[in-house]
Amino acid sequence: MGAQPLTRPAGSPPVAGATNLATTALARTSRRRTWRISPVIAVCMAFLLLLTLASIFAPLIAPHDPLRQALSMRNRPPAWISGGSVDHLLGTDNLGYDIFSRLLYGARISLAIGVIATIIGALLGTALGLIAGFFRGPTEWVIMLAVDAQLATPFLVIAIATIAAFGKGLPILIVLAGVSGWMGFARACRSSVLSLRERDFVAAARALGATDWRILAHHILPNLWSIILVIVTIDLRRVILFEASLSFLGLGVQPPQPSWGSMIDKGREYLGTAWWISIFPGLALMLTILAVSLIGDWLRDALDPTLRNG
Amino acid sequence: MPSFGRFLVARGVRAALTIWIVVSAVFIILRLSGDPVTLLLSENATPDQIESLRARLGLDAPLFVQYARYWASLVQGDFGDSLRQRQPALRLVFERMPATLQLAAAAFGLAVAVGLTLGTFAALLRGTIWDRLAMSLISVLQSGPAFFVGIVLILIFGVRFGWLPSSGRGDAKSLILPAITLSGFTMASLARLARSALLDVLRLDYIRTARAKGLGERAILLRHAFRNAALPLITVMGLELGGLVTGAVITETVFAWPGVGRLAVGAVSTRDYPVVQASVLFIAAIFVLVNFLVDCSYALIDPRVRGA
Repeated sequence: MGAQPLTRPAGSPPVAGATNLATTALARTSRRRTWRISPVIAVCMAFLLLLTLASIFAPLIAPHDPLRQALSMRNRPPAWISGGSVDHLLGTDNLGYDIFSRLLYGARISLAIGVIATIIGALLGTALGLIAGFFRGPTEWVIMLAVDAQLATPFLVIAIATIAAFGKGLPILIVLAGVSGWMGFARACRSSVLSLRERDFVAAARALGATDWRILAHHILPNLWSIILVIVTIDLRRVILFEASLSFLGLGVQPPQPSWGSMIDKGREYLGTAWWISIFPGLALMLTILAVSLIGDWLRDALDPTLRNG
Repeated sequence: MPSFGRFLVARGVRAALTIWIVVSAVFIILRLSGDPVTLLLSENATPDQIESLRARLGLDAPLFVQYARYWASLVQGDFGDSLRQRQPALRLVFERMPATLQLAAAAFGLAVAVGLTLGTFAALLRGTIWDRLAMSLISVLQSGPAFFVGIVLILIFGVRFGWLPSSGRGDAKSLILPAITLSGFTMASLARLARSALLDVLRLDYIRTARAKGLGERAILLRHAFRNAALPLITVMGLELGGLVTGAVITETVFAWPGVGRLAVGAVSTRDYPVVQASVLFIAAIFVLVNFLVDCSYALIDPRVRGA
């Protein structure tokens, strides 16, 4: 996960396509537009929908209590392998926890943290990007310095230092995941605002006596929704991976709370005897990330092709 | 045209500024989390020890004085002593450094070799089933979290067939699985980029000219296309190199590879804050340094970026 820096060609201006996106995307989406959904995208959407429903209704679907150990039922294989039973569809782990049930509850945690943290990052980044682009001056300089500094820093190790100081726990995990990705929003919003603020409708609003904050909220922000949506989808993938990585390292969601990352970690010692403990949560995580990133790419191409490789 | 020297200074100032921000952030985190003394001493420290450390750290001094002293000790290479092993934290980090650099270098070489080959073939066979196959492989590689890819590799090559060692650092064979695991994401990014960069270049007029004057495909590719497709690739290669040093944190944990990343993660569990701090600052410094060197080399190769 840490091996995924935001690729930033050294010579290119930040987020090259963002400027024309904000100015044209609204016009383009409001026109009747055929959104071609390929079969692959349809499958991805169906998968994510199913996953969301399964995690919401986990208490109804899960055959077992995800927090109840059954030491007599340790390391049982999945149902289709001899020795397994339908009662434990995907087998049990070294403490007798039912893997299928924990997978469902783990999806809850992964998705919830992913969504909450992405929203935090989007709010923070959008607000700072709007302020930087609209008010310019020293404020802009400081905000953009912070953006560059965080982009130039390996955030995972900063997160490790923070957890070492504050201790492990869900609140700190959510805050860290939320703060990990505001830079993309700030950059894109700032460069969009830079061009939008020179447009006639801003001058018109100002002539009518609108305050700065009213112009930002009512005239500029509505033009940014599509770009924010694209970055949200791209960022969701990164945040889910971030949470899973920290939980895998034992620094995120703490046992016995189920999380895909910590489930993968727990099964490592039993790869020779009970491979299913690690492999099923790993597959779930991989499929989720694949689905989210394919949808993100598709959305980006549909809303603005110039963002490609951006 | 802006001079190279000026570019160097501008980027150098930026790198220094980033280091300053990272160090300050770590200082602030340490202060915000409560009494640093409890983090710097083990849990069973006596009240006497706590008092003497508090006096020694000057925690009664104003915050900016403490901040200045913090910097002074870092500059002198004093990162504090490990709480578990009675040794300077920085020495522990340096002991682990060769393992991390070896792993990152091996992964980088692998990613470049395989990634570029894969991307080139996909570009040349564009639109065929092979292209689509290569692109799907790339998507899967990019979605597979390193820790899961590593576990699957251990399961197949370590546990099932017993061909390769799956943990620890021994002979060259023990490097194979960790290097493959760490290289996966970088490999995929380079392959994807090589494909699109090559496709962009192959569309250009001068390639058509080369073809028209009867050059063989091989010469066109090697002498004309690659040279111009190389620029964006070199940038991303450099950026990924920094990412590999950070990514090593996870790969090292999967394979019990005795590097700096594993040292940091292990130190969090044993509540050995000086070691966490030393390894975190060390990894961040390497990351910033690598990015700085990449920027410089890029400006050497392509004078156009110096103005940026």
